[in-house]
This record gives sequence, structure tokens and C-alpha cells, in this order.
Amino acid sequence: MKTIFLPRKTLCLCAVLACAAVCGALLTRVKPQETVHAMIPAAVREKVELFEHSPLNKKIFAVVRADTAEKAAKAATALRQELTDANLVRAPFTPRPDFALELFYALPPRFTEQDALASKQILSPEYVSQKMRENYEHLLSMEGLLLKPLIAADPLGLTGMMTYKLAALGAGTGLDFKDGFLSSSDGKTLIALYDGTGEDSFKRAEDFSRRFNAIAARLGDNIQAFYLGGLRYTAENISVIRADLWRVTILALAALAAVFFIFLRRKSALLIYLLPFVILPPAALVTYAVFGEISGITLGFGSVVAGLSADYSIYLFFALQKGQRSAQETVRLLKKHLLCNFMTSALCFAALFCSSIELFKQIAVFSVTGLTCALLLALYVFPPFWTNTDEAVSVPVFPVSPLPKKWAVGAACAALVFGAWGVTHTNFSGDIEDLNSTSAAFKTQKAIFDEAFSQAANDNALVFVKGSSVENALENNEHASAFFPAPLAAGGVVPSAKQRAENAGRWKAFWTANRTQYARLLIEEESAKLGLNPSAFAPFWQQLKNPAPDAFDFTQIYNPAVQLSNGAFAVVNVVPNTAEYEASAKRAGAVFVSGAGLKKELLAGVRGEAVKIVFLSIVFNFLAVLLVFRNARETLLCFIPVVLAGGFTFGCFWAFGVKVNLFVLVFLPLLTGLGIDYGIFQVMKFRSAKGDRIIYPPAALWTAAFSTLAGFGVLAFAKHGVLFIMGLSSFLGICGAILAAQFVLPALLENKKCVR
Amino acid sequence: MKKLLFALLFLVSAVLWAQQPPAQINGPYAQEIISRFGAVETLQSKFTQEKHLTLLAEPVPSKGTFAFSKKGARLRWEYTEPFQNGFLMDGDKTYRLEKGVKKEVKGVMSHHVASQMLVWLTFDLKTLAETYDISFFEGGVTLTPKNNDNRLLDKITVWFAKDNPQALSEIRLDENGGDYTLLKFSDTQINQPLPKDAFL
Repeated sequence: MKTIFLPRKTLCLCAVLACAAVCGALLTRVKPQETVHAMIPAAVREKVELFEHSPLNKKIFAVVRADTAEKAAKAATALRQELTDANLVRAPFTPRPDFALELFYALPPRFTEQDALASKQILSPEYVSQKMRENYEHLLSMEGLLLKPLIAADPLGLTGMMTYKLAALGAGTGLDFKDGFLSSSDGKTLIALYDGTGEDSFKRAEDFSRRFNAIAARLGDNIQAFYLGGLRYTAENISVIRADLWRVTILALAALAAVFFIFLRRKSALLIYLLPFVILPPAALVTYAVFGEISGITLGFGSVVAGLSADYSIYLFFALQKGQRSAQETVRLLKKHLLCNFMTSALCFAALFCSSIELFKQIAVFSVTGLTCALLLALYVFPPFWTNTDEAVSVPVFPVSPLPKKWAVGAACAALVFGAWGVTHTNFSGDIEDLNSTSAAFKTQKAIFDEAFSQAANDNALVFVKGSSVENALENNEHASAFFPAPLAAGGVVPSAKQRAENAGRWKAFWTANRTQYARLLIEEESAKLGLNPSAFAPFWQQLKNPAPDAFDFTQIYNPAVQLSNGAFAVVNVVPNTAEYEASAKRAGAVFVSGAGLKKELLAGVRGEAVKIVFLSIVFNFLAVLLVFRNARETLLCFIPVVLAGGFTFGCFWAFGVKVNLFVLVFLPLLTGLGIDYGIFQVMKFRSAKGDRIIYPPAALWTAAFSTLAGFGVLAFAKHGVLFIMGLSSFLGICGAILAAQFVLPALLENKKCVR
Repeated sequence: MKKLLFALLFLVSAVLWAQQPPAQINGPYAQEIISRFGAVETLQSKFTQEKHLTLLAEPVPSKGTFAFSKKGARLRWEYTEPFQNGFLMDGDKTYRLEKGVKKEVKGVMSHHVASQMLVWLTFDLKTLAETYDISFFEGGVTLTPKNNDNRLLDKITVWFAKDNPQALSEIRLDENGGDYTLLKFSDTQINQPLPKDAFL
């Protein structure tokens, strides 16, 4: 097979660069997106999304901590005032003095069957006597100033039914709520919940952070004030990713420069360093075209693709240097190897594409596009530039000797044991929190927050009932309510229009003329005994006969309806976090989400994805390499660097106490791809005719490994948890793979007499 | 003509007098009151209360006692007749008293009422001036809420005790619609040691 290079090499290179520049220019118009959803396995994505729609999730939590409860209360009140005045938050709901009266007038459209039953029971001479005496006692107390209108409108205390419904919304949270603040048991930590006043953009997050901190600084000495919530995560995460991109890019460039001066040392080899600039813009554009968005993490993965993509050119460069053959002849000899390498890498990314994690799909498309470009450049554009003998510079020779057979087997066994121990003892985390990157100050503040809130979070769960519209979701919620040990609280306060009409009808049907007359008799009898004026209860009789319109907007206290990303709606209910409620939700077709349960499911989902991806990448690669070599032994030997590198990496995770997040998943198929590449390199070398082995110098393998480390391993210096774990994994994995390929595999290849 | 001028002058004076702004708390009289009542560290007194409400067939009297300690911002307000109940405020905590037994209440409103009572009874003029327009008359003060939104009281009239410059003799709380409550104080003791169980 004759390889035809593109004619007019310089012109061709200029065209390639121009294409890359156009792609780069277009890329500047693309805004990277960051959502946690893209990082979550599909099986739990819905629950994560629903969890994010919990009533508290969209809130801004303003936390104030002081050395005394009094100071905390004063500071929290001042902070609330300033935040509201500065229009940073919406003014929180504060009940007016006539709030109880508003609750009473809101009862008829919320008058359930249970309320009707309870009302029947209270229409007894004993109850009315006791209630009227209580009313009288209240009227004579100072609280009577507040209670007088309510007593006149509701002498029987029916408002209690509404307060019960409201209380049920936060039932079991166990939180002390005072003066609009959630309070720790000692009162020194107060938390206020606010709604923001704008979009959750990075710009707004930065602006909010700056202005909040300025206000917090004015609150006084010994008073700590901070905020948490989505806005804070946005500010923390994106600033970390931005800083990381700069740090990683600078480090990668420095490392690549070192690789150049140590291994390549030829002007024309600089073409290899053009690769990132040439292949990454089109790769990013293709990814954006496929998904309609691109994540910052996918772009961060560019350094990985750059490292991987350089390998084809590096192998060709060294082959041309060492082989003393024409470019066409060298490419012909190496083509099979390069295609095999490309195929294994592409198949690893194909396995990643099979994952249900959206971000992994992006990374797969991004990487395969980049690698395709790199391969085409290596085969058809670069070789003519590397045959110029005038440029010859001494390339270092690496006299690498493989380990003796016994040592190699011993090292392999040690790596396997180390890895097995590491896999079973490494600290795997399925916590979404670990996908966020936050400052040390944030972590300290979060601990303060958790101290006050963690119990409430553990004791409660959320039940989501979905619908095509708010009304539909409310109706479905009402149907689902029947499956639970107690009615779902949201429906009690915010019923559907249909339910409101039904409840109002029930109210009218209940307060018949006879029953009203009976109530009147009881009240008048007790009024006469106590010295109350019976005509003062006129508002009550009016409400029984002709209920006032349902005017109070309860959603200003609690809005149970949320809109999901797919346009559907869900009603959120806070319920006790028990197995009984979980089973009820399942029967009702509702979604039960608890914080602890979600973590477990996420971890299980991540493990499932990991097994699937690794399994697929191994199967794909095994079949592909077998197809190329048509030799099971050699195919299996290609996996030696993969297995040993995996063992080495997980052993190191355990040994250094690394907390591994779900993004180690990205690394696993990559490790398979890289390790197999090194294995293929060595097997190809041993399969080659003796004279052709020269085109597989150890320096090529080392250079490929170091350039990948330079591009990829530098991610270990990133602060972002996701980039860090990907970088560290690859650093350890590449080190393990190259060591196994250079020192262990050759010994085993000789042993198996693979040399031809 | 002289009579006409005199009448005109009288009218103008009357109008001017009527248009005078309420006395400010930075005036010498107000300052004297602030310093007088500011010196009160403890206070205990008996009271009678008369409620004139449309809800009641006729005015109902009640009796009780109250105690105040500036230290810790404590106030015990307790009825003894016809019911034995009341409230106790201890810093930022409010308790309901039922036959001498206290039970913490978390409602904002109860705390609000208790806080208001504390300000009225101790006649903390500086705090009162934040929410009320203040006008002095001989022997007393009228407080009119500055904010019309959801106000419970139309006005509050306070009379100082003639025999004790640091005590109040009466408070009348006028509600919207004509209802009112009259509180009368007797046996007021200023800065005397309070019983040990006053706030228990």
C-alpha cells in the first residue's frame, strides 16, 4: 500500500493552520457550560435534578454566627435589611399581624374531609364552652390586642386546621424558626433563606459575592457572615476552573518544552507541538455541533487529547530519524502500528461514549475527533518535513534493558497485589459535593452550616410528584397523597383548582342552616355566661354562609411547584425519611429522594458505569488487537501494561489516601488505551523483522509517554477535584504503563518466544 | 377693629399652635424624662386593667402584678384575677405563664407584644420615638404610631405618677374602632431588690 503525501508540504501546512485558526475564531463564540447533571449517570440524573429543585435548593442561605445569641440576632436582622435594601435578595415573607385572620379566610377552599370530620367533633357543648372561655381569657390578656379580630371572626378556632396544614409543610425538620431565622440550639448561628433577584450567571455570582462580603464586613467584630447555595458554588467552581486552565496550560507548555529539548531537539519536531493548536479547535467545534453545548471540563480535557495525539507523530518522527528510510517507506512500515494505536484509543473512547454520563459522551466525541485529525496529520502532512537530513541532530539513546524474567514476574505480581489491595481499600466517593471545587474558607463555612442543618437533612426526604403542568402536577400530588401514611402536605396548602372547588363545596355543604344555627346557639349560650357580646361574631357567620374569596397567596411562603429542565412540572413535599414513605412513594408512582439515599444510588450508579466502561473498553480492544495480531497470546500480552498500570495506580490511591471521585471513570478507559498502545508498540517491535526493529526505538516510547504526561499528567496540579483526579490518575497510570512496557513486557515477550 | 384683629391673632396663634410638630426627644423635657426613666434598674408594681371592647358585653376589670429588671431585659407580666396567666420575657425568649407555670412560646407575635409592653412600661422614650410620634401634655405623653400599615393601636396615652417621677400611673391603649384598654398602676417600687423567683 503506497502512502501518498499531500503535495506542496508548506502550502498544505499553511492550509491546515488556516483551518485551525478559523475553527479557533469560531470557538471564541462558544460559551462553555457547567452543569452537574452532565456529570451524573442517567440512572440517578432525574433524582439529582429533582433534588436540585427541592424547596431549599434555589435559596441563598445567609448564615450569621456570633459569640452570643443576642449579637447573632442583631447581626442577622441588620444583614437582612442591607441585603434587601441593596436588592441582592427578595424581601422574605414576614407574617402581618392579621396573618392568622388571613389563614382563617383561606380555609374553605382547603376544607378537606378530615377537616369536616374534625369540625363535626368540635360542635359539641363541651368544646364550645372551653373554646369560648379560652377566647375570653385571651381577650383579657395583652395578647388580646392581636387576637381580638381573629376571635371575632373565628370563635371556634377553625384556623387551627390551617396552621396544622402549614406546620405539616416542614414537619419533622426539627429546626427552631424564630423571627424569620433558622436557629442553632444555642442561638449563636442563625440562617436566613432568601430568593435571589436575578439569573444564576457567573457575572451575577461574582457581583453578589463582592457585595455580600462588603456588607458582611460591616456587621461588626466577632461576627461571621457568609452565604451558601447555588450562587456560591457557581462563583467558587468557575473561578477555580479558570485558574486551573491557566495553571495547567502553562505547566503543560513548560513540560512539553522540556520534552522537546531532551528528546526531540530538531526544529522540524516543533510540528508535533503544533498539534494541540491544530486539532483542538476543530475537535471542540465538532463536539459543540453534536451536543449543542460544550463543557469547560471537556475543553480542559484538551491537554489529554493533545498528549495522546502527539504519539503518532512522535513514533513517526523517531522512525524516520532512526530508520534511514524514505518517508513513504517508513510510513508504510509504521502505518499498521499507528492505525492499531488509533483504533485502540478510539475504541476506548467508544466505550466512554456508551456511558450514560453526558459529559463522557462529549469527551469521547472531542477526543476521537482530535485523534483523527492528529492521525491524518501524522500520516499525510508531517513526514516530508522529517526527512531533511541537513537538520540531523543527535537524538539521545536510551539503553533500556528489560528486567530479568524472574524480576519481571515478581514485579508484576507485586503490582497486582498492590492494586488488588488498593481497589478494595481506596476511598471512593459518590458525593456530588466532591465534583465541586471549593476554597478552604468555603469548606469551613459549610461545616458551620452542616452543624445546624445536617440533622434536618438526615431526618427528612423529598417526594416529587410530576405532571405536565402545575395544575396537573398538583392534581397528581393529590391522587398520590392517598398512598402515604399521612396526606402530602403541599396539597393541603396549595390545592389544585379542582380540589379547591371541591373543598369550597364541602365547606358550604357542611355549614348547613341547621348546623350553623346549632353553632350559633352554643356560642350565644356561652357568650351569655361569660359576658361576651354575641353580635360581635358577625364576621364568623358571614364566613360560614358566604366565604370570602381565596385571596392569600401561599406560594409566597412555600411554592411546592417546580419546573424541570424537560418542561414538565413537579410538586415537592417534605416527608419523613423512612422506609414506609419510600415504599408509599413507589406505590404512588412518585419519586422519593433523600440525601443519604441519593449518595448511595449515585455511588452505585458510578460503580455500574465504571464496570461497564472498563468492560467495554477491554472487550473492544481485545477483539480489535486480536483482529490485527491474529494471535491470542500476543493480544493478551498487550494488556500487561494496562493491568499493571491499573494495579500501580489504585495501589497508589490507597497508599497516599487519595479520595477518588467518579471522574476516575474517564481515566480507566484511557489507561486501557494508553497501556495497550505501549504494549502494541513493544509487541510490534518484537514481531518486526530484525532490520525493521530500528524504527521502534525506546526513545520513541519514552517521548510519547513523557509528552502525554506533559499534556495530561499536569492536570494533577489542578485545584478542581475533577481535573485533579483525572490528572493524578493519568500521571500514575502512564508511569505504571511505561514502566511495565519497558521493563516487564519485553521479558515476558522473550519468554513466550514471540519474536519472529 | 381691635376685636377683629385680636380674633384674627387668636385664630392664627391657634392654628400655629395646632401646627407645631410633636415634641422631639432631643428637647430638654424629653431629655429629662429619658434620664429619669433611664435610671430605673428594677421596677415592680401592681396593676388593674379595664378592657372596653365591643366583644365584651360590658367593661371587664382584671388585676395583676408586674416586675422588670433592666439587667437581662426581663419582664414578668402576670394577671391574678379573674384568670391567673400572663407572660415572661427573658432576653430574646418569651414564655407564657399559666397558673404560675412558664412555657416557652416561639411565635413572633407573642414576642412582639411582650417587647412592646417592655418599652411602654419602662417608658423607653428613645425606642418609643422610633415607632411613635410623641407629643407631650401636662402630666403625660401621647404616642401615635408612625406607620399606618397594619397598626393595631390608634394611639397610646401615658400618664406619669404624680408621687413618683420614675413611675407611670396610667396607660390607655386606644384601638382602631373605639375599643380601648386602661391600665392603672399602684404600689410601684423603683430600684428595689426583686424577689429571687421574680423571673423563674
